Amino acid sequence: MWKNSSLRCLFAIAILCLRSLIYGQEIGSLGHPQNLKCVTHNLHKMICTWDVSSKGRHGQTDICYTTNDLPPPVCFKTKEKRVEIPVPESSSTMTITTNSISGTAFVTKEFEIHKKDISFVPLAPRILSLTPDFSTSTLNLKWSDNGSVFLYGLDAFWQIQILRKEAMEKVTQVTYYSKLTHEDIILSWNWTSDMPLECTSHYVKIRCYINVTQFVGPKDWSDWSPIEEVPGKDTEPNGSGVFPQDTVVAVGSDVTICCVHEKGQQIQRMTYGPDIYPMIRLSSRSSAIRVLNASASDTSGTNVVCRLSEDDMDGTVLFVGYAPDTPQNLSCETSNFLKIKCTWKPGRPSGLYGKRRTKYSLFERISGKNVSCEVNEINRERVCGFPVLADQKTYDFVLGVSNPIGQTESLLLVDLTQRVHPKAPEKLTVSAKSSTSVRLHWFLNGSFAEIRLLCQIEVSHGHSERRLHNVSMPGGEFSTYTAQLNALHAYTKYQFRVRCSAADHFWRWSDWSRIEEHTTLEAPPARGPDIWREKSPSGKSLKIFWKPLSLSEANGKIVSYEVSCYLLETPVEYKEVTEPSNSTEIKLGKRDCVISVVAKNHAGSSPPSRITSVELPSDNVKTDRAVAMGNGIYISWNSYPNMTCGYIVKWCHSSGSEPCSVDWQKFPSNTTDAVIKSALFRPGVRYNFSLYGCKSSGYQLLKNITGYMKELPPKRAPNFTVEETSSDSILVKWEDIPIEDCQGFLEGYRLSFAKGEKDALKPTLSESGNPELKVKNITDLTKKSLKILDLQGKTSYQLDLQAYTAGGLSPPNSLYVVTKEDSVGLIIAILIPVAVVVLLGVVASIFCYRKREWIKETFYPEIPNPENSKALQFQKNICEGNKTLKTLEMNPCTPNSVEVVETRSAAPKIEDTEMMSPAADTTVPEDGSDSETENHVVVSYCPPIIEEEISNPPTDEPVGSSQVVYIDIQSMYQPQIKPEEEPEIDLVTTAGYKPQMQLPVSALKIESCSPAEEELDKTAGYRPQANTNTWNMDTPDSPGSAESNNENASFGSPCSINSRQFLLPPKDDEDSPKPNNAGWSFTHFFQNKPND
Amino acid sequence: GTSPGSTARTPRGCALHQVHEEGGLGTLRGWWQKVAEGGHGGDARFSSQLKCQGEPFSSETDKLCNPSGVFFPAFRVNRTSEKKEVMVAMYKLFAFLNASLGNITRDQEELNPTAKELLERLHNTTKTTRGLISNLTCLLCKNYNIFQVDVSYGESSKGKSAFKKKQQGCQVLRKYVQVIAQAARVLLPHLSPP
Repeated sequence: MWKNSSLRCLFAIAILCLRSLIYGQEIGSLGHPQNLKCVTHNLHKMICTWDVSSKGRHGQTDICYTTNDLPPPVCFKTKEKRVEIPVPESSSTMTITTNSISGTAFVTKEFEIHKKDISFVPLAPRILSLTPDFSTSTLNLKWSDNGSVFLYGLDAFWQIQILRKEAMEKVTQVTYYSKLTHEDIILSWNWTSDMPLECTSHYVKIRCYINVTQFVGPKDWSDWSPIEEVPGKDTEPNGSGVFPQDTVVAVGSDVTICCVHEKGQQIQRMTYGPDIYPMIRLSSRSSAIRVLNASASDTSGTNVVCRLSEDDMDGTVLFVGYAPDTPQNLSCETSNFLKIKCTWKPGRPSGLYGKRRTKYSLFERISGKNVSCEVNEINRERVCGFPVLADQKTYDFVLGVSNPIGQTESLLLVDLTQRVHPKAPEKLTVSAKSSTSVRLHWFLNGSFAEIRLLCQIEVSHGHSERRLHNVSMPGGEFSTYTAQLNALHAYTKYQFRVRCSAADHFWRWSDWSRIEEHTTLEAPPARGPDIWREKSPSGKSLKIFWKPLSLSEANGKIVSYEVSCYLLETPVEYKEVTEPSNSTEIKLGKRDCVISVVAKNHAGSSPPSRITSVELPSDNVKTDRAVAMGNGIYISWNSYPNMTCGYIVKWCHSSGSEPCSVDWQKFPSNTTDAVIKSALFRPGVRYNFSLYGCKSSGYQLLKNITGYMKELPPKRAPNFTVEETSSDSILVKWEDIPIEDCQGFLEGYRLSFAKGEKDALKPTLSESGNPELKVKNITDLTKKSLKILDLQGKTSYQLDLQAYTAGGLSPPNSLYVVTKEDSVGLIIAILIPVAVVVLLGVVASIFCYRKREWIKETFYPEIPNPENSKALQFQKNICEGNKTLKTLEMNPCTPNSVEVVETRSAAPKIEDTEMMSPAADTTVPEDGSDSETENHVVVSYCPPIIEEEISNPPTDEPVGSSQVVYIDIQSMYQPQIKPEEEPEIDLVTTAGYKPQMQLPVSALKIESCSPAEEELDKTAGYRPQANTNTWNMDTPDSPGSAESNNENASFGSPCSINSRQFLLPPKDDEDSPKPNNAGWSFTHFFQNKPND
Repeated sequence: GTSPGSTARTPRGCALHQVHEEGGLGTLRGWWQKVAEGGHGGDARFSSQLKCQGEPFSSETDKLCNPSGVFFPAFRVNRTSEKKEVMVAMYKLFAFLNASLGNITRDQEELNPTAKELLERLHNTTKTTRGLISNLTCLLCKNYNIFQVDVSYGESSKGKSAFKKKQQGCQVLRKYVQVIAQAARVLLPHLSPP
């Protein structure tokens, strides 16, 4: 164990000793060289440096080195602590001997240098140039790769650092790669700044790293090159402005805009468009704003304004737009083989205008020819022309599009012969060749000799369908082309137009030429007119009718018709009838003939139309009804086998006063029905048709048919009258309706009746909804009367009569009829009450007779009991209200004043001073003249009652200070005044006592008093509270009332009978100088009494 | 466009213009009358131009279009000035205006090719100005035997930045609006028929 341990210790000591032998020379002692480092910059030579531990002074250093290749050491002296020696292949030994100043060796140290210990650090690159492009904010850096020093194919990495501002803030650092080519190559690198280069100074430095793979030692980046500077405007003494100037950027870009100002100024704010942006300080004379995601600017760009102190302003315009869109739908074609026209759609607008607009160029690859396209930015459709090149059919176009933001292109390869789009044919003319053919000529502006043309001719006339004719023809050089059209109609106005295209490779039709009109020549009419004839009733003349030929059949303008009558092929009569007649009459005599009608125009005559005049006899010709179809009239007939040449349906149109115009329609012999249609048919008009059969020997009337195109309700109802009425029945009769009013086939009548009084506003029965309405439908058209039964006597009935057709009901005709009274019932109704009354009378008589004693005892006793006598009691006075006036109560009447009148001439003094009026003070005329004042002198016997309401009952008076004194009680019982005595007896004069009668509504009429009455007024001993004579008994509306003085009139209960005045005196009366109604006084009473 | 600086203008074809003398004066009078009444369209033209330049030209017109820094020919005439002096001043004014309008029109055609209304107004104004210059040339020639007038055209905007073009146009038009209204009041009495 120990043995082994001792051995190990010895071995370790030996190694330590050996190491100390090697390194003991490097470390420790004074003046010893140490820290030898060797670096190569070019792989050929290396620079070795070392330190010397002593700080003491020493002399030169002896250097000796050996390499494997060179065994004899190379020695030399140096004063530096560095030496440049070749890079060894593998290793090298270097002996460094430091000498004293006197030259004696101080220390000698040997270093073993292995290749792996040598570092490779390239030399710092040198910037050849740094060039700024202010317009694009781009820096261009150039340097040499120094590649000649190194082997071919080494990878070189270049680290470039961009610094900015005075403080040299690092902006970016990029690594650029290159390959060394054993030559000195100048490398170039561009960097575009996000900030205009004018804004502040920019700095650039570069270093490199060469990746020498064979080199085993450590490799490192070179040192940085010296810094190159691009000074900003803020470094220039008078540099100022807003940057960048007029720059175009893409939408969505981030843009930095700076404002450089002169020393001493301050930036107040910076705006981008209308918005204020926060500023970034770049230097004492420069600030910037950063616009992120810039949106498209207006046409004139977005203004950036820098506001400086002292109202100074500067600015720039930023144009924000889009890169050009790729052109869409690029298409090239030629219209004349002289020029190629290319069109495209530009897509999204760039938003850039003026010199920044999108520019187009057309480049043809095969020929290498390039043309720039002047296109209008505003116009959406872009067009560019390119000349057709000789002997070139295929064109390979590149449409280049560019603007300051970007560029793009669109490609198109075309065979020009397949892209022919001629212009519209010009100078189209039409010339007639015959009545059915024309020749067209047109000119095409272009050189089409290389291709065939296909031209299309459109033919139309009137409103007919347009027809197209294709014509293919060889193309020519600016030629006129011709085509012929056949199978046209004679004498027809046609419209022609032409368009063309390439025949072999159709691309597009040209536009149509202008329309050219042409009328073809006339030709003889194609057929004879459709004819019919009618014999006169006498059979001596024949009227021939024909229908005008249609335009297509006439083939021209019909001038006349030739009508001939042939008897056994020999013309016996001939007539020429000019247009527009469509009938003529010829004399037949007693013979029949064959009629021939020929239509003639300027080009010739039509084939003749023939018809025989022979009319075969007919037996039992029936008349049938046709069926209205709404748009025509349906008629049918049996098949007549012997009618070999068909049927003719003839009818007549009559319009107003003009004679009816004959019309007809022919049908083949196998036809048995038809719907006759005519524009002249009108709804509700009856048409009569005649069906003729055609035989070889002539025409035979088979039957007549009447019908309507459409049936309508009758225009009016039939007139009807009441023939007879009884207490329970009415017999009505009506007349026929004229056919023209029927407007259809009459199907019956409808009679409606119900109880009802005549009333102009009453609706028709059918509309009234009367539940008692009864309707009678008369379908037997021969029946012209109807008896309505089961009616009530002495009752008014309304009768409505209507006619109806399949089209509906006519408006009604109405009558009001009152049935007669039922006499038997009346008699019974009178007799029964009479008999009952008589019977009751008889019974009452018998009863009274038998009970006469009792009746006498009860109703007429000989000595009446006063208590039972009510005759002595007054009934309640009307004016009193509820209280009864006990007439027999004699209340003392205390006059409230008594005045003795000494002379009659003295004016009566009215005691009621309150009622006094100026008039009352006037003297009463002695002679009792009819002056108005006299009429108004009324003696008051009661204390004044002022403002007494009209409703106050007179019974209030007893509780007042004065009461009525009834002078003559007996007057109450005076007999009634006979009518004949009325004019003579005045109520006032007789009114010792006036019963308080209820007055009718009346008006007081004082002024109407007669003089006699006035006199009596004055002399009245007792004056009742009212002068009833003055009460107009008429209604206020009566003439008498109107004449009265309404101011003094009173209506209803105008006064209290106990009162001496009107309860509601008119206001005017108080002011009136002559009161119409004044109270009377006892003075008058006494004065008048003797006269009483 | 015209270059900055001054040039001597010699109204040529004097004899031909003589026939238009009265008409020319009438046209001038009519034009100035319209100006005095505010119907010459200068304001509309100015606001139309402002609208097309974008913000803040509309909102900060006073600062951006302050014409103090822009050249404008001196118009030192008053009601008591001689008619000849007035006519020469007018000629200088319209010559300057014609050149400026040419510059503005060219700039706006580049900056606002889509602003048809503005361009139309500018073209029409330029045409009117040319007509007035023609009439003035004739009047100066015939009445005062003046064949040569030194004219200052101001600074051309050619080559300037878009912002400067906009600003200069705005300044010139603003000054034009101000000067023309004042000038109308001074000139009308001189142009009134005797």
